[in-house]
Order: sequence, then structure tokens, then C-alpha cells
Amino acid sequence: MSGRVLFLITTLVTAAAVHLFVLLNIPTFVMVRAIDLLKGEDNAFNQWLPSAPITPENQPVVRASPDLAYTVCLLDLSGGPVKVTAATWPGYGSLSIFDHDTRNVHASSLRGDGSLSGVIVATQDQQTLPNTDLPVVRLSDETGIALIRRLAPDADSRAQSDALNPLGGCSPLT
Amino acid sequence: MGAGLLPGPISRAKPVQIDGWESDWTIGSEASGPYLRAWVARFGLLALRKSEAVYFIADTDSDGKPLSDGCTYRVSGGELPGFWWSVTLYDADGYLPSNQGGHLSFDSTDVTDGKSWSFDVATTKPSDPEQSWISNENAGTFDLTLRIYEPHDDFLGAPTERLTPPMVQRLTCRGNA
Repeated sequence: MSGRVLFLITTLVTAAAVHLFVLLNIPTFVMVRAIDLLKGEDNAFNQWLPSAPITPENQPVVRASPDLAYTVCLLDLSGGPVKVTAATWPGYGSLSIFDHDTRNVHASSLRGDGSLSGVIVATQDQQTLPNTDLPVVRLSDETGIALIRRLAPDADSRAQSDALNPLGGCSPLT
Repeated sequence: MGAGLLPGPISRAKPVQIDGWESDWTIGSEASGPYLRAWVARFGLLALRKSEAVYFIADTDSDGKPLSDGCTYRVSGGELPGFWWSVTLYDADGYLPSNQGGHLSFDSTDVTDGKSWSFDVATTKPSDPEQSWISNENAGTFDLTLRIYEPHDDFLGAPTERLTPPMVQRLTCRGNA
């Protein structure tokens, strides 16, 4: 095999490996960057953080919807499982959980009359869970994102959605 | 970051393509492949799985020409198979364009007179005050994202049979647009 052919093969294999490495790590890289942006200086994990209305000037993540009121909780499971609850809403609403690799591992409707809906979020190996009716969502890592979406296309409905947030919770089980 | 790796507008193995609108039913799920997951991370972070929402993107008009802020369009449609839906305009990077007035999206709560609806996409408000509109000012080359939340089961099972997507008709263009 000539040196030129060997060089070509080595170059192609290296390029393929770099391509694969970058491709597979884009989701985690983007998720880590989003969490860094959202946690702010307060390092605000395991608490609901209402988002300001989505406008051209305020777009914390790509392709956010201006019709929705978003409330986010950055999950840190290093201290144990986290209980995530949210108040239901007369219009469209959902509670979703994303893992560190951007997979939507849980999504449930929040349509309802104001009662609470929720889940327990734990890692794969956290076994000590309370006796609860809430479903258990497993993450492959200790970090993730819980997200409330509520249809709130105007300031009044957004204020009503924000007023519901204290009814729910996002905190470690004790 | 990473956009050069990703053929678009949605990089996936088994797309759902209906009259110029494209989606992928594996978004958000374990079944999504590495190219789709990378695309979602880059251009649609925190997208929901199909049981909760589906996303369609159109980046061309009904004649197949790229959507541009140099042109005005009329988007029209009828009933869509979900609890709630919206159409939102994003620039080539997936962000709302920097324009004023708050005309960023049209959703099912804007449908006032029955099942059929339309809105214009333009840089300025239409002369007809009754016509709904969203702004493409400063959007450059853009796309329209159709979100259908709580999609009906029969639609998820047979999307090409159950969905008549909105039509995007080009009305006028300025200069060489």
C-alpha cells in the first residue's frame, strides 16, 4: 500500500470519527448550554422558573412559541429523586420531562380544572421512592429539564398561568 | 454550531411529507436517529413527542420557491386534527425575526368565523383591516412551523390521509425577490 493511499484512508477514517463524535454530542452540548443559560447566577435547580413572554428580544431557546407561557425547572437528581407537580389549566397545557440528551422522556396533558398533576423523576439506580400514585420517570443522568407549557397568547392569560405556578412544586423528595 | 452537519430542514430517515410540509414522527422519542436528534437540538430544542405534539415545517411556497421577506404570502386552511394548533414564522436560524408589533404567530384561537381561515405574511399590516397577518419583516429566508398539540390518534396513524395542511400562496414580491 503506497503512502498516499494510507494517508487517504487515515484521513477518511479520522474525518468519519470526528463527524460521528460531533454528531452524537451535539444534543448534550446544546442541552448543557441551555441549562447554563437558564440557571442564571442563582444556580437555580429544582425550582420552577417562569419565563418572560417569548418575543424577538427574549428567546431563551431556539424555536420557542410566542403563544405559550413556559415555566421551566432544571432538574438536579444528585441529591435524590425530584417530585415535579404542576397545576392544570383550562386551555392547552402540558408537563414534559427531557433528559440531558434532549429526549422527551415524559409528556402529559395539563388540561383540567386547576388540580395538581405530576411525576417523580429519578435516575435509573435511585431505588428509594415513596409510596405514591405519581408515575416515576427515569433519567439516564442526574440532570434534565421539566417544562410546563400553557396556552397563553396574551398578557392576561399569561398572568393567570404565572399565578398557578406556586401551586405546583419541583423539589427533592425528603 | 453543528448546522453544517445537518441536511435540512428536518434531517430524518422516514419523514412525513404532505404538500410541502415536513415532519418526523420520531421527534423526541427513543426512535429518533442521531441526525434528527442533532437537528432538534440545534433547531427545535425541547420538542415534544408525537403523542403530545407534532411539528411540520414549510420553507417553500406552494410553487416550491423559498419563503422570503421580499414577498407577501397568504396562508389558508381549514380544520386541523388536534386540540390546538399554531403557525409561527422563524428565520433561517430558528428564531423569531426582529420585528415590531407582536404579529408573530397565528393560532386556532384566532379562527373567528367557522372552520376555514387565512392570514397574510407581510412586512406591513394588510390594507384590509379584517385580514389577520403575521410579520416577515427582517426575516430573510424563513420557514413556517405548524404545531398541532394533542393530535388525534387517527391522524397520527395515517397522517397523509388525515391532514390537509395549510396552503402557502405567494401574492407579490419586491424587486428580485
